[in-house]
Amino acid sequence: MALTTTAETELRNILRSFRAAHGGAVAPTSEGKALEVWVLMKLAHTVHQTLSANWQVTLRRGDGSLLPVGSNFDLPSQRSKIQPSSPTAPGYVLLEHRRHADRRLELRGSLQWMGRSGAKHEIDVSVLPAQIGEAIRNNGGGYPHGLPIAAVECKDKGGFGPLDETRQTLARMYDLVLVTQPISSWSCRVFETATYTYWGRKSSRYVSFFKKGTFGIVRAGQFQSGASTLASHYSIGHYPGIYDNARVIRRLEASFRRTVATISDF
Amino acid sequence: MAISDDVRHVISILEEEGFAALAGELLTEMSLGREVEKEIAAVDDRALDSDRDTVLRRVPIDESDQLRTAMDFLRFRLVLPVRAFAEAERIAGQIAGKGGTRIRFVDPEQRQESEPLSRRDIGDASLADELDAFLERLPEMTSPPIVRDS
Repeated sequence: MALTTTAETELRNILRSFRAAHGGAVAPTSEGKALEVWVLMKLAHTVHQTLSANWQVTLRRGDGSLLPVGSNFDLPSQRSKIQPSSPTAPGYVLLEHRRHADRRLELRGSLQWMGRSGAKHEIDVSVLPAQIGEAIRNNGGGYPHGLPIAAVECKDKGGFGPLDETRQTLARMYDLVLVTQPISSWSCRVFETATYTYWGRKSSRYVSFFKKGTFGIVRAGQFQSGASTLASHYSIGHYPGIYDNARVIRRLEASFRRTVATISDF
Repeated sequence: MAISDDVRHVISILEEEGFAALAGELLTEMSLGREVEKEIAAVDDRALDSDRDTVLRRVPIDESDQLRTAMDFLRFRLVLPVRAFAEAERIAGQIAGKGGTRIRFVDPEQRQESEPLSRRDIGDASLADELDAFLERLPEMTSPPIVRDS
């Protein structure tokens, strides 16, 4: 069979309009960015909507200041450390508890974390304590160390996410988690090396660390069956069909709300 | 694997209209075939359903199903990301206390903006909706190839 002339003409016209309007969405360099920013904003939104009695959610610029009304919200186009404080640096979402000033979190896209090995690990959507973000930003920029409060990988491809994809996420978590503390007298989950600010408490085992927090892989497609056994043992959520099934993103949102609501236990 | 004429036609249109990378990806996907999960016989009968040992294989896509599969591919790659991005902009606006907030991607070091994901009004996914409706109709807009006697 062949496309009719009408079909060809209509397809060409709509593709031209689409390219003019959404060129960035089809550029190979932008692959996956729409999914990342959507997940990031959905997590911010669920706190904004559901936990607003206790939590305030705001958009922030790269110097930590409130995003001015009418300004663009800039996010990193590629993996990056936390940049030195500057209003033109990529921004983030700040979650602040309304009564407990020490409960403040930064929700960031494409942030690189430093593993115990010295390797850097990009996480599509991650959450860190704001104290750590501020210390890094105000001291020339750099990488947070330790296990994020939340870490979500975003895969916008169809098909099946193989077992190796979950293994990669787990390997990253193993390299990040501070079962061995950086300084023997510390007990922490996240730290930075400019001012040696640290946050949270050490857990005794890997699985105990991973149980606290939201860890997951969201996929436009599905997951290979065996991958769920590995993922669930280490508290890594699998979120298949993320675009098409509203219940799936709600499950991720619920996990994140639990994490935020229990942050004082971390 | 043989690719149907209508899918080849779509691929050539994509390439000519500036979607060359996507055209190449679609050609590869169709050539490789559909990904399916095949179970390997369990050694341990007590294994849970979630423990099913599987391998991922590619199988040929029936020619009559190729155009619909190609439309699904384009929906995943064009329609759904743009809708998601538009929703993200609307959420950003709610948080900022406005109707919508433009989200941009900037090089973290150089601060140059990447090509925008949207040049439409903030939060507008109407073109993605239009494309989606067209992709749904397209498989019905085919005709047998005209064969001319020499």
